[in-house]
Amino acid sequence: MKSPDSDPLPGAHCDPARVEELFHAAADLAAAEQDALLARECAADRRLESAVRALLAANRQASPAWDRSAFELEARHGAKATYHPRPGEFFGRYRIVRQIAAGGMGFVYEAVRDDTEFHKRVAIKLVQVGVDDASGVERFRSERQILAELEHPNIARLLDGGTTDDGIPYLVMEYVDGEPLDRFASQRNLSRTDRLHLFLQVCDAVQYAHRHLVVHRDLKPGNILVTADGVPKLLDFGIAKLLSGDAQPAAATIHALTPEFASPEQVLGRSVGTASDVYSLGVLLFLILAGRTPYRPDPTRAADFVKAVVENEPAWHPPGLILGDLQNILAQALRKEPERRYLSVEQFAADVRRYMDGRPVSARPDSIGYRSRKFVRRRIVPLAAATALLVAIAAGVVSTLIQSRRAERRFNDVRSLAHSILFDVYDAINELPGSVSARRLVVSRAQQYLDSLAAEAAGDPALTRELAESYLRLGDVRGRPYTANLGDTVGALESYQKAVALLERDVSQHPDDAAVQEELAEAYMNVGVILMRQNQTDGSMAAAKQAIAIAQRLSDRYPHNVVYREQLAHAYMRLGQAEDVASQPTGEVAAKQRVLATYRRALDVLQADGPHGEESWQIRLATLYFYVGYPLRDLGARTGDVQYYQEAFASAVKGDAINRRLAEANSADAARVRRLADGLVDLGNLRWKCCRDLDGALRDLQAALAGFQTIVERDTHNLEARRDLANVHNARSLVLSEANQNAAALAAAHTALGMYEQLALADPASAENVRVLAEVRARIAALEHEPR
Amino acid sequence: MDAAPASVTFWLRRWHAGSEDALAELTELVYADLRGLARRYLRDESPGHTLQATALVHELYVRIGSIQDIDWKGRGQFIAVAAQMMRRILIDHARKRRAAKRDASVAVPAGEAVVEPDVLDVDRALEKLAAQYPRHAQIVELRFFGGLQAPEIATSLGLSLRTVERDWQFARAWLQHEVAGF
Repeated sequence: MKSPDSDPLPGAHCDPARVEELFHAAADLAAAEQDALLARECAADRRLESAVRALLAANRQASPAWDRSAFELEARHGAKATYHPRPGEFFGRYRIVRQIAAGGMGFVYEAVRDDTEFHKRVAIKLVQVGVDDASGVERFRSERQILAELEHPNIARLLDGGTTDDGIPYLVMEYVDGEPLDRFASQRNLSRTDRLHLFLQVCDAVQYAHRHLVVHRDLKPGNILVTADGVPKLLDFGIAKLLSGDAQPAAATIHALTPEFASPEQVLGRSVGTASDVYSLGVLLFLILAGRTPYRPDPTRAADFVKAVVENEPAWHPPGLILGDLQNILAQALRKEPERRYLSVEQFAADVRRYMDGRPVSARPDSIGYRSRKFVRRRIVPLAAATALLVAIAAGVVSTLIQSRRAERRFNDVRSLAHSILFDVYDAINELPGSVSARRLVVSRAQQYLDSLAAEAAGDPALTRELAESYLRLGDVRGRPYTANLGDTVGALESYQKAVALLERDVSQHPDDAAVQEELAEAYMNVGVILMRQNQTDGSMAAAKQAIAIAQRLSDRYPHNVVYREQLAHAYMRLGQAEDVASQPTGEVAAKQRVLATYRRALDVLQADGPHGEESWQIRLATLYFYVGYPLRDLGARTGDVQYYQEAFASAVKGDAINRRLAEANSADAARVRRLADGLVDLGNLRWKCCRDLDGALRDLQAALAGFQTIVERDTHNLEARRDLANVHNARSLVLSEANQNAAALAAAHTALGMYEQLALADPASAENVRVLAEVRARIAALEHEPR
Repeated sequence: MDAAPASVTFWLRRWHAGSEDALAELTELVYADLRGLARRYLRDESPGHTLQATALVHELYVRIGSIQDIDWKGRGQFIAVAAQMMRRILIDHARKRRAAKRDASVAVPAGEAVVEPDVLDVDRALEKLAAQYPRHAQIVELRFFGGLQAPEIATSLGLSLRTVERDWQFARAWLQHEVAGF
């Protein structure tokens, strides 16, 4: 490659247009014809001729790379460019001393910080995978925050972290000068008791982290260093998760994990929780007691290893090394199925302590008898299936094992999914801000998982029911109305409908099972609400009627059961809502009267059995008082008869009194705060409509705003809470515009508009968003055209 | 929640209505988005995944649904802006890569016969080309940096397809000479 300035540019001193013209004229000619053409056209202009000749030569030589894009060329270099600091170089405030390790996940350096009086040794870890876009960086930041909060004498502290200019994330950790756990134990020739003591300290640290919702995921001797004075320190807490990005470790990450210590669920790429750490601790304990890992012969090929971890029993030989209770303890920690291990590290450690004290341990040897007992006990396997299992046991051990393993595996699939949603998704929603995309990913995986199981579920009632519950849960996470969710109504509807289909099948097979029917009614209501939000009022009403029919049957059968009574009232309320939305376009008096009648029916149904003290009953009652007000208000607007407003206001006052009592009883309960605020919006509105009390109305709305704001502050990702805030601003603008305070009304409307626009972006399928946006825009337009 | 698209829509409308500042605002907003996309793609090493700037620019389109409301001329202008942005992003990436290579303690695999143009060299050469052949330089920008195909370029610049193809042939020879020396 030549220097750009060494040769004159082709045609630099010639007429550019002429150069181009000759180039095109000559480009497709044979060499001899080109010569002739150039001789003729360039005459004595040598510079012109050389310029054109140079370009013609370049045209023949032109690299095919030109037909690729710069992007493609750059991408080929891109990922390979990595930053490697060298000894003596500064990395932020830290001076690099040496490289300690290089591995699949990144590079670790020893460094010192000597810009202060004290000379501090640190370990810097440069992370190489997993953080490649804005959401990844955000996730990295929030995870890092959680790790930074782990303070335990046996956990190496995370001191600092960030992202280099090149976007490579790094972590700065406490430098631990020590030996890996196993080497420490063997070099010092520690007694069995000393080894167990050391192990219990490790358990203590892991347990502490689990209480902070951090799973280590990569426990191995290399990550547990013991200092010269015998203190074990755990390194790299939660980093495996941080690297893999979401709950399920990516295939790439699994390779980076140390396979000898990885749990079966980890090597299978399933969701990983605290039980995985219990397993790894089991391997560690095995190692420090027996001097080797549980599986032998030591598999060296990765595929063999996966097979051994997933299928083989630990090799307890040579005999005498690990016996009796200790063997039982290890066997329980090393079970293949996560839920059959110790439920917590705490229980594991407690059993080790019992062993050390010579007390009986809780762990029991595994046996066929044990398996069958366990199956009968388990709720998910109905009695008939359990009986079949017992028969099978009598018939032959082999078939039992096959069958139980299959049942168990499927059970585990659903269970681990439920666990993943509960532990990873829900907690993520509440605890990790800014990782929406990661949560969506987990949800879509959950969906795929359930679908694949559903295909197998036909004819298996227990699995069917479990699946239906999981679909309902999934729908809730995706977009359950009126609760914190991911704002995906289309996905939520799909999940709810799948649950309905599964439960319908279940009900037809078990018509006397009230719990399933109750669940089905609930599922229909969820479907109805989402259809209503999508403006599909016919479908929504049909779903509500299905729910009413089921709840009515249950209520007739159990007339004093407050739960079914509430559900029936709830179903009527949903029907009323759907009727209300359907009546919106025309706003006819008769249609609104029907809505009113449905809500009143709901109130009657609820109170038919006298007042109840249950919180849920009280809440339902308060809600219905407010709901009755909606058609009344519409009727007031339609007829101009203020009496409707007065009636609505009186009802709202009753609802508000209940809400206030509940919220005052427990102000830390966000749901109660929210209900009170919700009601205040209606109350303020009606106070204005019925009594023209502007100050009073604005006070109500202000109080509502304050309530919602505390909720949004607690959970910035809660879309419903944001909708609430928007609704208050909208209500304020409405009241203000009716009171002819146009400037204030316009300001409030703009605030509401901005918020609704954001909501619409997050959930474009929501008809409610579209409707409310149109409404606010219309008001803004009207206000802008009015004077003042 | 991503706040950018709302304001992008807003500025697109303003721009379409004739506001001059709007394009600058728009560029800033979209640039951040595009850079995010580019970074993600550039790090994606998975084999079989064809990396194309076109895909990127198109993904940007999908994200900005409201651009569908803008007329074709406006779209052309927007594409030109996007290509410029891609150029900025890629140059930035290449610079960092070079800096990293200088510092690398682990050598980059040697022996790759360098016949491919380096993005930074092309960038410099392109500026010189623009001095003499501005239209050609713009086509190169759209094609090489923006990843657009000839028909798309023709539409967005209001040229005939033949002109775009001829210009490209000439510009390619010119740049080849400038960058590779023959």
